[in-house]
Amino acid sequence: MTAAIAITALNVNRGGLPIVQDVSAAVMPASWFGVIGANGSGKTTLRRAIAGRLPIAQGRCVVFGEERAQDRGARAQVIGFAPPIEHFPASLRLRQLLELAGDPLEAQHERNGDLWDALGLKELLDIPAGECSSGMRQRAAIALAFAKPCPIVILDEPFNWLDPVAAFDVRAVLARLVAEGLALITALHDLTTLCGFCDSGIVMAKGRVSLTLDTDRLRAGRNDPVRFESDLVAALR
Amino acid sequence: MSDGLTLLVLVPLLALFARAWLAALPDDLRELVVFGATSLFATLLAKALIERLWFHRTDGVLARDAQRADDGIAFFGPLALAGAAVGLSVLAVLGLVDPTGMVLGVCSGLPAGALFPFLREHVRRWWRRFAPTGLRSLAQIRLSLPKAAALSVMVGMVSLALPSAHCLDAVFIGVYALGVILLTAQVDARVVRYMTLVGHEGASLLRHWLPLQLCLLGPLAIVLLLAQEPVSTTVAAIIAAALPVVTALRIFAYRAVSRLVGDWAVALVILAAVYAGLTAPPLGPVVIVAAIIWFARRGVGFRWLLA
Repeated sequence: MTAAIAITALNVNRGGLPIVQDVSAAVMPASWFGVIGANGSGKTTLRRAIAGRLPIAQGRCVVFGEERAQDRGARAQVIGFAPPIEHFPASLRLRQLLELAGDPLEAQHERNGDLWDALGLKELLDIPAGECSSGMRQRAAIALAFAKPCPIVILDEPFNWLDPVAAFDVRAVLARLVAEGLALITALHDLTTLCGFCDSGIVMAKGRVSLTLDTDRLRAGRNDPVRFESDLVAALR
Repeated sequence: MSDGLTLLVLVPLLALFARAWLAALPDDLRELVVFGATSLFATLLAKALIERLWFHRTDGVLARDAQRADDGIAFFGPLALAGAAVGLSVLAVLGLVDPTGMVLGVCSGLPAGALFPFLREHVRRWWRRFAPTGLRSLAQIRLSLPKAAALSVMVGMVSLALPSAHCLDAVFIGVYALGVILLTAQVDARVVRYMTLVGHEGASLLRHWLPLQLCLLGPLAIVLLLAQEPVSTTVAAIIAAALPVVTALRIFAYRAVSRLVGDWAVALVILAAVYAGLTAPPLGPVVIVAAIIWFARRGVGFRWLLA
């Protein structure tokens, strides 16, 4: 089976400094890939580079069998990405943010109805971004990643700011979308989601992969969370 | 870094240009400029300080102190005086020294700026409370393009029906154009950045802002041209051409550089275009078009980018 994304020896620089070095991983279709790491470990840079939001300095990035490392636009076209909430213009309503980012609103609602329900988005559409709380903006950011139909979606710590009910519902919808074929990459800080929902993942430290998490290891983590956490913390240090 | 360098080069150049221009003004006009500039600066300074104080009262880490009137005055007073001193020094560097005008400007500007935020909030509250719903929703009306074009044609017909004595028709066109400028010329740099981030190309950015302007002004210019009204046609044609061009310039500038540098650059390009247009007329549009192309090319790489 062709991987949705396969990166090999990937290097990404920011401001001339190497932030991500020699990272390799593969994400299959219909799978949830978790990226976990300490603050400043290069998670955000890696995700942005894969999503075409940053250039790749070196290495390979194969998307559905085609080499795209040097074609940032092509990666951005096929990968849904949640823009950081601080980039939302205060003057625009959430409805306008969604319309500008993808399909007409009706089409988005028709396609992502369950996700919108889980996010409680319909009630937020007419609120200007400048008047939204961080949680409201985070809901919009998740919906923005699905504003266009994309086979791969990358979300940055999607459950931050969400209340427990919304987080629970959104997790369930995302799991269903993955089961239907979506390749989902998320940065995570909570081990519950990592063990309970992800099929594979990596742990990053100082810009490199310090631990690879395959399905068996994640399954073992579900059964013995204390041991899993201590292994993970050791890899993060 | 490049923004900082741009400012480092542009600000002294602009200051030299302004100093030379101001030195050539007649004395009475220069005194008026001193008063106006001082007053405007003092107003903006006081307004900014009051709004900053409000921020400290609600969201700042010193909210407890900022709530006290004495501490509020202690925050506002010294900063207002220090800011005024800096502003007056800048005016002196520009060759604008007139003690009377400066004192009058500071004394009128500071209270006006300090009162403005209170007045604005009062008016907003009043508007929310008393303005009829229909009137409030007027501000949110999005005119469709066919309706905009129809409105434009209608304005052209009305202006043709007006007597041309005292250029009444041209004044009518000017007032209408001013309304169009106020309603459609706002380009929010953050919206340009957001649209670029979510993948909009240059043409798509233009499609977001320009069609309404063109529909509101283009048909009007054509109607007047067909009716062979020289004064009104000239006014309408100049605005119909200039507004979309300046809007495009701002869009591409905001995409390529920061908002601050973009505003400065657009102002300088317009100045240069006007100067070129007055000295060698065909050069004016060339300057603008060259600047648009330069900004457009520079901004291409920012599509999708999240640096």
